[in-house]
Amino acid sequence: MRLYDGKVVLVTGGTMGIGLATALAFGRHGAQTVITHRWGSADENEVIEQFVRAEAPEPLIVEADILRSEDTTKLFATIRQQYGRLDALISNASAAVTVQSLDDLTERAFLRSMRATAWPTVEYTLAAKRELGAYPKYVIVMSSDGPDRFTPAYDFVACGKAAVETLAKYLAYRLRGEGVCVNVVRSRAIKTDAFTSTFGAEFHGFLRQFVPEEWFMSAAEVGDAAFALCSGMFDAMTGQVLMVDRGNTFADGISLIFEGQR
Amino acid sequence: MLDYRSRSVLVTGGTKGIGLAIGLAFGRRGAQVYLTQKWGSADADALAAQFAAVGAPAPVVLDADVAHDDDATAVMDAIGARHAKLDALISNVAFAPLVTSLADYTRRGLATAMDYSAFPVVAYTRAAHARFASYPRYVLALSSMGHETYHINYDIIAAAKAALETICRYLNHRLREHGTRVNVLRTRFTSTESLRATIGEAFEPFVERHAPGLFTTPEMIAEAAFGLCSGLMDGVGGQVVTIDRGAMVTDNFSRLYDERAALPPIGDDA
Repeated sequence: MRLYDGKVVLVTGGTMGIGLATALAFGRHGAQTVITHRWGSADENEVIEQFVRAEAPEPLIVEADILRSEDTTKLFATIRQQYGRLDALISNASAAVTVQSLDDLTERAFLRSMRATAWPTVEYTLAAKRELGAYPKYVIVMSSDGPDRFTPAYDFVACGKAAVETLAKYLAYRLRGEGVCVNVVRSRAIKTDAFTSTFGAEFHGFLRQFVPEEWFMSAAEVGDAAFALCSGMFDAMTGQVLMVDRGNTFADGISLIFEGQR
Repeated sequence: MLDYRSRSVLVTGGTKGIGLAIGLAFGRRGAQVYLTQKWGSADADALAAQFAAVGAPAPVVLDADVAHDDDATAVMDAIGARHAKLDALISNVAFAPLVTSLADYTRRGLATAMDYSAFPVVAYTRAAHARFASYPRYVLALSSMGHETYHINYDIIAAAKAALETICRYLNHRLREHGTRVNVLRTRFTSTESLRATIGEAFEPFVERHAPGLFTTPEMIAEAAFGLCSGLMDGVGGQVVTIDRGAMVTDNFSRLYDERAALPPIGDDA
């Protein structure tokens, strides 16, 4: 008997990177996972193969754009028909306009970024109640250290993450009577496709001058932490932001480089 | 990793309250648990019975004053008699003089607080290395929220907890090449003897009446402590993890005001 046998977990943006690693972590513990993606971007067979290798139940892969509320309704209707329940929501997918200079700071880009980064967590949580009759016991939001520390091109992403972290704290309050735990997992410097496409391939080589390859985090570490928060061991934790970085953020600065030069 | 059979876990101040609950959480996953106490006050038979009741190996209870390095060495020797290393160190002991007015602030009191509440995590981590030539895989220190938000009578201990959390961040950085994860677990209000000794018996019922749901049990904290050492949280290092049922966000006047219609009025406690 595995901890998540018979339970259902939804991971948005779950066909690659951190989302996929998180879905696999739940799958290894028996969960039926529902993973979403946009545009048919995923090679479904390759994704399913990874679940087979992890001895996880085959995931249900659904195309759902976080920007389209009709997709959300359809997705939850599918979950209702197929499984009739949702035990954990992992709100991972987000999108934001990247910013290279002040010229990129436009109101339209800002509002679109907020919608696509901060709103889906709320929309999906409410949709679970509306379509399935109950909130998931666990809501996990994937975030980053962008709201606190400079990250290239990240202006609007960081705003969206700051907003969703704040909304997570308020959701934790509003859902306190329902036994729901709402927490945020922050991560950084994981070599996923999203990392390369946001920061460019050069950034990795630049960082390697100062830090060993092991410094980079794996998506699996983040997935395991998200699973742990939904395992029952952290049921007294809600409204919190958990950094999953092995302490990297603390040491990230010119002081570390100076020390290395000596 | 959720199975701790044949592993060794040390919990300082582990014979009651949160420390004991953590010992039991590891014990019921099979760990050999070592508990320290300062005054030899624990009833060893009663402790053994509590461990047996959850299917845990009998704990080893050791007398140790966390401010004495010789005691730390003796504790590691006792563990070394049965284990080749210490897998997890839970630094739980804290002690400091209570403060009810500015007159209670003393230089000596602050030094005592640092000695008993901030430095032991370093002393025991080093003592483990001196005995086993390896650091524990997990080092976890217990803290509280008194340095972030007002806690009654807590001034000096809060200062030591702030220092403890800072030391743990640095310790994590210094031990990262050894694969050690150092973290801090903290809570706002936990139902323990220690809290009753600090603030008095009347506090918990008052909170439950006017702001229900803010108190955690020692077991809730213990499960999270185990979770951080379970292998699932190996991406987490140098962090302060708050287990408070949301109290950090919601323990304030605004909440009391928002809920005033549903809860008994304050001042009505006679």
